[in-house]
Amino acid sequence: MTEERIGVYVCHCGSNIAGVVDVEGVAEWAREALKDRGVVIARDNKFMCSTLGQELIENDIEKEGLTRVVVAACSPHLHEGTFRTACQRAGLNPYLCELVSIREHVSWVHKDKAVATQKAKAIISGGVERVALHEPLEPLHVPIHSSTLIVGGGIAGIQAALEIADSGYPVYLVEREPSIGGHMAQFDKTFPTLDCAACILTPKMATVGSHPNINLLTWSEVEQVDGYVGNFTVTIRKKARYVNTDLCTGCGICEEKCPKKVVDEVFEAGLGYRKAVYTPFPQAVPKYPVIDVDNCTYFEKGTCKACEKFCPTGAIDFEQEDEVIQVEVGNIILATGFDLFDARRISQYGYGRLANVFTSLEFERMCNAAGPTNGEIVLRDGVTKPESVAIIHCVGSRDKNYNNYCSVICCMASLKFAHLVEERTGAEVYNFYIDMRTAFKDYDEFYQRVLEEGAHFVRGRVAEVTDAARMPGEEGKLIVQAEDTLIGKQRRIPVDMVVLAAGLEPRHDSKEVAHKFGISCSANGWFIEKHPKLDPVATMTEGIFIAGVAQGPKDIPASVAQGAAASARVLGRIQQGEIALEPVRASVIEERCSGCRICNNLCPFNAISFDEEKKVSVINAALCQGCGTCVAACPSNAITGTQFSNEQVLAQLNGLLMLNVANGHGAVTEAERVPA
Amino acid sequence: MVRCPQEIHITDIMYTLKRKAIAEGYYRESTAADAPGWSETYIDFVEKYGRSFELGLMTRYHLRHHPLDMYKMAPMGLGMLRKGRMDLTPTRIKGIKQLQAILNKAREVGGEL
Amino acid sequence: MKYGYYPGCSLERNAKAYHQSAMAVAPLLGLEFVEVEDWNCCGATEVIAVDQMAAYALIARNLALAAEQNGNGHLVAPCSACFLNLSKADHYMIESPELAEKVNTALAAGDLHYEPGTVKTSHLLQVITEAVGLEAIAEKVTKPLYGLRVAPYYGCLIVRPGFEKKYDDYEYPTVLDDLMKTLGSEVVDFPLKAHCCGGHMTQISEPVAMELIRRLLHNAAEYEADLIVTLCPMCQFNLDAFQDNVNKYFGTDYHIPILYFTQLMGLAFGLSPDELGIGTEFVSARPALDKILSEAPTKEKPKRPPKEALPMPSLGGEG
Repeated sequence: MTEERIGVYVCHCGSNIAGVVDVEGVAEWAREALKDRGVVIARDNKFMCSTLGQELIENDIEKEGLTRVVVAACSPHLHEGTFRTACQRAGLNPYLCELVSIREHVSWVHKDKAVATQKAKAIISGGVERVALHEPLEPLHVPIHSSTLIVGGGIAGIQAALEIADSGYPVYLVEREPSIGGHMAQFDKTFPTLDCAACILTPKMATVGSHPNINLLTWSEVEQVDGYVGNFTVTIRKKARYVNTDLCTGCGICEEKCPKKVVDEVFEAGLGYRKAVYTPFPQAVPKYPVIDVDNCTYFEKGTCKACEKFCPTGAIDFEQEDEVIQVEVGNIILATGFDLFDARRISQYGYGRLANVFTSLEFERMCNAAGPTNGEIVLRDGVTKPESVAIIHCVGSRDKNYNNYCSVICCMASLKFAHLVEERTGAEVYNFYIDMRTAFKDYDEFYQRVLEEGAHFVRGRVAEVTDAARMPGEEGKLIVQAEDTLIGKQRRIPVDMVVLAAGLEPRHDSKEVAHKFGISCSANGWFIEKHPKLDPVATMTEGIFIAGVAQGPKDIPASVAQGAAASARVLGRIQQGEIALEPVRASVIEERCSGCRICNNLCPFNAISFDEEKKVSVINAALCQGCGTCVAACPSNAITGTQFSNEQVLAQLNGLLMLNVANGHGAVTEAERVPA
Repeated sequence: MVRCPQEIHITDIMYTLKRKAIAEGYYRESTAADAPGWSETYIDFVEKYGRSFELGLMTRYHLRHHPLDMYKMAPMGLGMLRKGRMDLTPTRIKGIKQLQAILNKAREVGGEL
Repeated sequence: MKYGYYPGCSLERNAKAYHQSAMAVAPLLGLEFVEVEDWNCCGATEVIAVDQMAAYALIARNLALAAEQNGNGHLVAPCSACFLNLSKADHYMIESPELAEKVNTALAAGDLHYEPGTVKTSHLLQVITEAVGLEAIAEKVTKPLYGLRVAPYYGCLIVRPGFEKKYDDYEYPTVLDDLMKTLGSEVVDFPLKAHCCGGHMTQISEPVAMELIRRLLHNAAEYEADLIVTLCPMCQFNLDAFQDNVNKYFGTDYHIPILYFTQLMGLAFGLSPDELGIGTEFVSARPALDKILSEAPTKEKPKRPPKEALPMPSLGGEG
């Protein structure tokens, strides 16, 4: 028998709960049957979460002197905060309020009304038993460090960095490649305005490069992340460039003189070459080149050193080593971008086997004036202009065999290619599509423009691209076979060149990266946002935000918007200077700990360390997210949690089972309680 | 099913449609009007002997459906016999009664899955 | 390794050469093939076009017999259609307990029962390349087929329709190509290698079949193949026996012999052509086989691509 004065509030939630559960009956029952378990008042209300509903609770707390509150309504995910705040307003510690779900757990999953009502009673009974054992808790306040780490120097990362830096706070921008710019730097023109990608991107890149508040760390990767929101300690490996950046002027003589030419798989998408010492593109930021150790003659055989000989400032340093640094940051934004779908996986399109089949990225490089063909659209022989080009949509997207999702940007990109081909070669263009996805501002107008320019559109997914000629007129050409579903006939269209609009895929190492930062990936590999509709840039881990295509395929305006959104969230945090963390934490009862350390490796947040002197495990309260894994795993029962102590959980179980024990009549004796 | 982005079993659907076309008699107006005749002749032999019998199948099918074109098949038929690639008589399996019982039961059970 | 052996109706007579060469080659590779006693026709593509239950029951009798007779559940079928039928029936019976029940009801009328999943059917090519392996085969090659330009033709049924554990890539299989390379021959990679030969359309709709066969012959001839190697009796029959008809129909002049891969294997292992049934084909293989050199031809130095040419996508990588 407890001394607490408990109030029980049963919500109708309109008809969501009331349609299945007899809510008035349940409130009535709580009033009567749970009297000797501390319940002094029980009410029901149509919408507990409304202002009126909340006021009910607040008034009762003041007038009836309630010391505990149980609300039976929707899932705590939705309104736990609402009711806790209401209690706080009335002067009751918010953690003395417990929200039990009789909607998601009862009315939404059961059809039998009698059974549902019984279950609702059982759940409330559990809540009542539990809440009696709650302790008044205070949230943990942790300071927020004013520096921010941004991982990924593409357009989303650049935007986020500029926003934060312009507001006066320091930023570390870490980029894996030698230069920032990301995929956008590879493009020729951007839809729908046909702005030159480099022309709009490079000003931002230049600003990043010279911004006093941005510490640009290119050719670097994050190795380890320790700490928690507001106080992250990040270990970054600055890979050796073998170029002394204090001396290098970016003149480019080393690159000119280097005798070793290799295929550039990254920036040129495998379509062009670069040297072993290189900057990826002329407008690279920073301007310092790097040496590709795997292909450099000096590192292979010990000879050459042409770059060193010719460098006018003596900036080449073959002895340079990786530098590992540690930085303290308050928040992290992940804007790591995407990889292109490997079109070789679809063997019937012939990519990799048939010379004149190109991917979208290869075609972008081809169109780019600074690319391997100086902007000329030519066949694989580097010389011949095509007279007919086929552009295939949805390569590797919207396909259960490869990726089920739509990659969003390929329709627009394909239209852009169609326009560029018409403009530069006058060739016949055929777009093979399933649906035209031209949803945003000025996109559909662009589609209409391309239609008027005379591109041909065939609505049908391409069955295959082959060089086996069957009829006259097909010799020596690539034949695209598709069903034109609008006329209901199969078509074989001979063309000179095929461009595959390959889909977007998460980075090949996105799962490892997610694990490193403590966030989750979906099954596809995209980072998971906190809420798909209402919170696309936050993650479930406090202090870590995501932006750009890393969160899911999107176009440049959306990436920029997300980069800005993430930076706004971060700035808000920095502005407040501290953050209140949920006090739902685990802690080790030292006397019971045997030092077995099973919990140390189980913690998904790396919050448990081992005290060598005392030979016990210690939980860092700030890192702990209260998941409960260690509590369950401890063989000595030495770990307990605030808000989920063993006593509380068992009490809740007792409460749940009481109704069954008493054959559903609701009255239970002390003797029938299951011991804690 | 191989290329279908929605993983539809296309060949199974085609067979079902074929069976329905034969059952409902739609095939008669199609360009492959002879197909059911071929299949049914084939099945007759399998049910009678347990194995397919090419010479019988060809002769009966062509006699029934294109008797005037039989001469076209003659040189190939002779070639097959000469090279020992065709039997003059059918082979009957030992368990033919067992097979017939099984097939009859299957037809009784029937149904489309 | 012991396997249950399901020859199928074709191998009895029409494709006798396939059976002969398979049996000649098997012991050399350590494979023991034991023919399933009293097997019946698998139904090819005919029975399922008329009656679904009868078709599955027909196939299931074989599976039941194979399960009874061969303890280890391994069954090998040299014919692609038989392979497809046997593995398809088993796969669908595993997936659909309803089908399994109906089929077993039918089987019960013959005092038989088949537990889905007991017998795993493999194609003969599959057994040879997977169970034996290309390295073991390379060791047995005593007379490499140098200088012979071989076009590997898979036909459609061995790789399609696709189930999860189906064999090799659906569109562009390479297993037979690799095997032919191991035998020392020069492999001609022609793009129609997994396209249909027409099947029984030669009887039902001659123009369709003639065109399909012509395309294959044309493509192989374009790529200058000396002979086409195949792994399905139907394909061999269509391409071989009807080649003359095709020539008459279109006014072409193809003389491309069609052999089974086991026949080429036998030749490479040093067996005589007679042992392998060479001579039963309509388009004689002798002229092509006479082209085999006694030593490996010298490899031409690959020409340097012109400066302006763009690099091809690299093979391998993070696909």
